[in-house]
Amino acid sequence: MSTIDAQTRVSDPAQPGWKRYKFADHFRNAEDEFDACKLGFWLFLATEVLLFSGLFCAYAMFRVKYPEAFAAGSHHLNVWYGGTNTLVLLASSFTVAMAIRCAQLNNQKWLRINLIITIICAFLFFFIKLNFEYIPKWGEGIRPGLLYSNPFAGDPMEPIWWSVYYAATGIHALHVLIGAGLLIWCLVRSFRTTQYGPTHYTMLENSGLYWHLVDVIWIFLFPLLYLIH
Amino acid sequence: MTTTTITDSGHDSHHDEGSYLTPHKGGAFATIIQWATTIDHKKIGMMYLFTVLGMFMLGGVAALLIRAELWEPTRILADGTITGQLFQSDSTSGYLTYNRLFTMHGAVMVFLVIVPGAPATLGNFLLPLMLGAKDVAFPRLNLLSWYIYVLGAAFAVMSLINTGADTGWTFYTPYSSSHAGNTYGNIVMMTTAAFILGFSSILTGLNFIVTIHKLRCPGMGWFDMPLFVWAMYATSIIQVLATPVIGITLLLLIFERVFHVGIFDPALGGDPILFQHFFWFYSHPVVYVMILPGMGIATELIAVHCRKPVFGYRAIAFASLGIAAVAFLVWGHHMFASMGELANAVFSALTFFVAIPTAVKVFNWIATLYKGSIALNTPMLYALSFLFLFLIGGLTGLPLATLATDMHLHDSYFVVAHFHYVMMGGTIIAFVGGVHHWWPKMTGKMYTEWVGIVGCLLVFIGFNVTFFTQFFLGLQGMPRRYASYIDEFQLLHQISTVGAFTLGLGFFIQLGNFIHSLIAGKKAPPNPWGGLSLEWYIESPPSEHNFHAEPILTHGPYDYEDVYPPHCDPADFPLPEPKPEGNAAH
Amino acid sequence: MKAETAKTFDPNDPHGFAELGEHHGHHITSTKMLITVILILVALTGLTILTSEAETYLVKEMGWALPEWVNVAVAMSIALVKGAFVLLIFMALRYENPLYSIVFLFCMFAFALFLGLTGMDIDNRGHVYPWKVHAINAGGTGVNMNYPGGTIHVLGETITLPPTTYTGSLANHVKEVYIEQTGISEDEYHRRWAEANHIHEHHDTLSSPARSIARTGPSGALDEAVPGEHAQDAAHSPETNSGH
Repeated sequence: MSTIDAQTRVSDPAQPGWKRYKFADHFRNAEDEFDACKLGFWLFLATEVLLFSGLFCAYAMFRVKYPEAFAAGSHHLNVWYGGTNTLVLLASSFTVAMAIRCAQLNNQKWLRINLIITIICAFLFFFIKLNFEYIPKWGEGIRPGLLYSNPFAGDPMEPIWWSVYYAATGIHALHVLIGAGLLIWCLVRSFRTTQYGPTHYTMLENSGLYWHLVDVIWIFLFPLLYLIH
Repeated sequence: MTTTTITDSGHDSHHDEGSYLTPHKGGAFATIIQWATTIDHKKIGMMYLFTVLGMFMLGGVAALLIRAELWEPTRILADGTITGQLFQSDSTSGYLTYNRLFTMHGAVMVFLVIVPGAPATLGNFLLPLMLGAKDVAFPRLNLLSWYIYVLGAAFAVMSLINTGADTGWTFYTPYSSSHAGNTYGNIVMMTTAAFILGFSSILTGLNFIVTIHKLRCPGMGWFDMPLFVWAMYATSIIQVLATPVIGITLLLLIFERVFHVGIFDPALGGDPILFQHFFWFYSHPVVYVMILPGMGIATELIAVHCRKPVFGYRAIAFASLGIAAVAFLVWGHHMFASMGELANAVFSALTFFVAIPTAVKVFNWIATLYKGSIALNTPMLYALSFLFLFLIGGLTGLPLATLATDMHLHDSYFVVAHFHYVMMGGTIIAFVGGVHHWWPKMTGKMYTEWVGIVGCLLVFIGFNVTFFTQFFLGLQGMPRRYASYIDEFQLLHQISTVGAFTLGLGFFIQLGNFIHSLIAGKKAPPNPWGGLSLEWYIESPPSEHNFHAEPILTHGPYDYEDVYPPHCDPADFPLPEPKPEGNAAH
Repeated sequence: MKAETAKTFDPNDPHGFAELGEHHGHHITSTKMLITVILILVALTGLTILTSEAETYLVKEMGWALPEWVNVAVAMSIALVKGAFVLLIFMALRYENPLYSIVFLFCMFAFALFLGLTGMDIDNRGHVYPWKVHAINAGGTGVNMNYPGGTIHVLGETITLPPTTYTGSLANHVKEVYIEQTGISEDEYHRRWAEANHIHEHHDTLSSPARSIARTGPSGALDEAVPGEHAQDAAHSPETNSGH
């Protein structure tokens, strides 16, 4: 047991979760723990960016090699679905930033409202992606690689474009779902124990960072996939 | 400074607390549960040690089988009989078995032994102790990374049971993605294993970086850390920055294999060279993930067993970071045969930069040895073996980095010998030396010294006989990964095989020594070697909480000229002449 | 080495961050700032779509020959600004410990190296020395396929791919199969093709299957290098000389 454990702990169950929170034993104080978690999470975000870097790299190489195929394939995508999805993600990024602000100011009601909006946006994004893009495209035979069976390819190399498209957006969509899962978990904890408040909101902050990162990736994917001519 | 330097107030109470190895009071089952759910970095380190050891034996057996197969070249005689066929009577499937064996050897040794080996075992055990912390920053993540490791190992073993992959550990496309010779699931399984192990590696690296940033004990600045910690820091940076790329690479490879997406498949317009770029962007830096902890261990061993301050502390620390930086610039030298001239020339030139930080380290180690009071015990013998073997491994890298000579040497046994000198002669030897060095701390038991020395000598001799021969084989044109060869190579191959079995014998002697030590070893003192870093200040094995009170560091880890090692008889450590005033505190 | 540290040791600030003046409080971003940023982001999204439309207009209606990189450069510049806003304000890199920014910059550095050094050989990746030609089989061009067939499980659906052998790209193969199965004329196919690709104006410059040739792939030089006339060079190859 540390001799410099300075935090006063409140174990009264009537208190909100963020007041009852007790930092892990091997840290000196809650501040140190928060910093450590955040540094760890930034490192994790770096790994996420580098995971996507592989997809961006594949995109770049194939775009240099097959520019016509990329232009032809991109024309099958509707800018308005992509644009709407961009706005949806931007809006959710804003609300999650607001949610963290609410936690810092102990505004529990708006914290939850903002989180709910964010989660709705996440599923809206996924719904638009799935319902207006993946399913119709798959039905038209516009599929990745050897599964490609659309007779009206604009360019002989179009299947490669669709492979890159499905890989990039698919892995991004997976991240959207993971991010939504994290935020739902935050919301549940907020409802159950009022877990996040001015002195403790590590999990919320990190989930928010994750969500922003998903947004940033999409900010780059959107013009690369939808705005080629 | 010659005063006692660590607050040691709670020293009396430690007998009640018991060591971290004390079994649970509820019996064997409760102890197993306790270990399986532990978040104690020492237990996780030990769990890693034993799983890595098991995988090492698996990979080692594969290596011995490969060497046994190469005792005789496979020949089809005039009467139709086949000689030298160890595995199957039918030569085609025999070759297939051989391919699967070297793939298993490579994949297991790289992904399951060398990469997680030193960081996850010794790193996990020692990092918090050396920093004076109670645990790593994220203990639960640490346990998770062990479970992920076990899951990855399970996938690898499943692939093996399912006849195994035969692509080589590099999984080059399009052979791995679409060749009909491979059965459907085993490649995917092996790739999934490597993919999963990547997560384990990332989590460990991330954990260590945060630990080093946030949990150094009071008084410990960046340049008061033991150099092993610096090496772990550089290792972790590479793990965090490089491993995600292998993640996406293997994921795309799985897509390629399952859905035929065509990104790496030339028949669909994809680019197999792109796969090589992707693969080596991870797999070259990961070579430094393998060797940097080895270098860190060697630094500790040399300093402690020479009882002399490390020469050029900052140079070694920054050389670690330098290697980490250069690691990301040189991956193309694995692909000289498949890239254009411009890229070849650039990568070749960049590759030579690796020599600079590496040489800085080697010169500093030698300068540390100079005029030190060298104790030729088992760990020190390993450290000296490391120096010798790593030097050969490093220097034979130069002809491979040179374009003109590489065109002759690439894909030959010269390459095989080179990277075994670095990975095995470097990493594994340093790792085994490190295990000997910290074994008393980890288990609280001493091993038998003379057996350790015999084992070390056998390993050293066996290793050189095995792999030095292979330099000649390679120069004469023996290609790697071949089950068969021309008769002229047979003598050298047989020498190599004899060496390999000597090496195996050496490792078995060490294993026996360790087992004997666990059963009947002498109780270890807290500081058998006279080390100065924080782990030697606590009892062997350490208590559950590492330190009884938070330590406050007042001296560097190698200040042998100023400080008596703790728990040691001052008579054993005569201090040098007092330095003139003003020089004492540097 | 650091004897003086012990004297000024503060248990709640073990590394002396306070002395270094390091910022330690949590920054609370103001609502005004957040709203400003989201508005900028929305505006920039509009801008990037507009510039893209404008470029398309210039190319198709005005007949300007905009080079390929303009599209990428403009779109990526706007995306970078947007990304920077999210990172600096929403993710609070601007207000936080600079260590996080350093982590991110390192990551960007690794990304840049990855992209740059991988792209370095893209142009001559497929180059083949004449004396190596005999040892190489064509295959890296995306112009032929010999797939033995197999079963693929996607989302619970089992897709059986028949054994496939064709010359030309997969897209052309699919087209030929389609024409054969539906029995339509080439003209009818082209009409449907234009419809599927949203091409209605006659002066649209999109590529069409009529003028599409199989582009050489990343290892495309193989295509030019391999054909049979070099086969006899094999007699001079090192392999045949070192026979065993």
